[in-house]
Amino acid sequence: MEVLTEDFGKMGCIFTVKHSRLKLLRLFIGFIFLLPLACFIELYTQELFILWGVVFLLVIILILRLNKKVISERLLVLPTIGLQIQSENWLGTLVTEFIEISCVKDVVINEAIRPFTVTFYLCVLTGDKKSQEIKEIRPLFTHSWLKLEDLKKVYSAIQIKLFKYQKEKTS
Amino acid sequence: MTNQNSPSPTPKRAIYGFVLYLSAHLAFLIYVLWAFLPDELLRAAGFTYYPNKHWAITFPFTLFLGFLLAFPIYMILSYFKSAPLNSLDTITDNYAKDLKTFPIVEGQISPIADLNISHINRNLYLDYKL
Repeated sequence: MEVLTEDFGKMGCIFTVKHSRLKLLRLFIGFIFLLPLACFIELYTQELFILWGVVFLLVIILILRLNKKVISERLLVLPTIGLQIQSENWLGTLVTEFIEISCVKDVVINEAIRPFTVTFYLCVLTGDKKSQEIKEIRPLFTHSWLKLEDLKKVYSAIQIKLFKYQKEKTS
Repeated sequence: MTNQNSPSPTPKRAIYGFVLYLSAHLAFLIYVLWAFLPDELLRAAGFTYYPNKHWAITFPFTLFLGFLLAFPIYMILSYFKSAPLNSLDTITDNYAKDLKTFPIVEGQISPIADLNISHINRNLYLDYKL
């Protein structure tokens, strides 16, 4: 999973993570496993309408699952304006969220416990416009868990652009 | 006060221990008799209301399985209880102390406080080789 960076200098930058639309190897392995199962329940001896019913059911489940499958996640960093988080799913639906710059208190790399693993993830700390308090955490790139190296690059870019972080020596 | 907390034997503890020892042996004897003696003999002796004999195997097996599964169940419960990714519990809680609330005195040991996550991130993850 690679992070594509488009840098526009002072105007901002765009980070995109794309997933493949079709994972052929997984489909192939799934098919290899389903074929003995279909033979075991003797699907080939059933009536035609039962088979059509099964196909219809599977198509419905496929559409429902593709509705939630995210194929690309994008983060737009706009200095002095805010952050835009976009995620596109397989059927083409775009879900966009914009966070104003005064609501963005910080963008940090946090560690959290997910089932049976501990992951690093980038998150936006948001709060009210006037106060310094952090009200909410908005995790980013939740459908494509990036490695720490990629997260560091995105983090550094955001810190330089959004918060104009100046440091004398490189770390 | 130290007498109360030390693990050395006292008459009270000796009596408790002996009672526990006797009752454990008695319980084991009753269990063995109940498991091995045939139903007719038990009924002839006057015991008509006792648990079904299959429990002699089921109960120890359930206990054993409980011990085996206790560790995975404990692990799974802790994963259920861990905070979701978007909750503030992952970075702070009600008892966190900010370093700025303590007055800084030169030469003294700095007070114990929690580090801000932004500060930690800048020190750990900020590198300029993009």
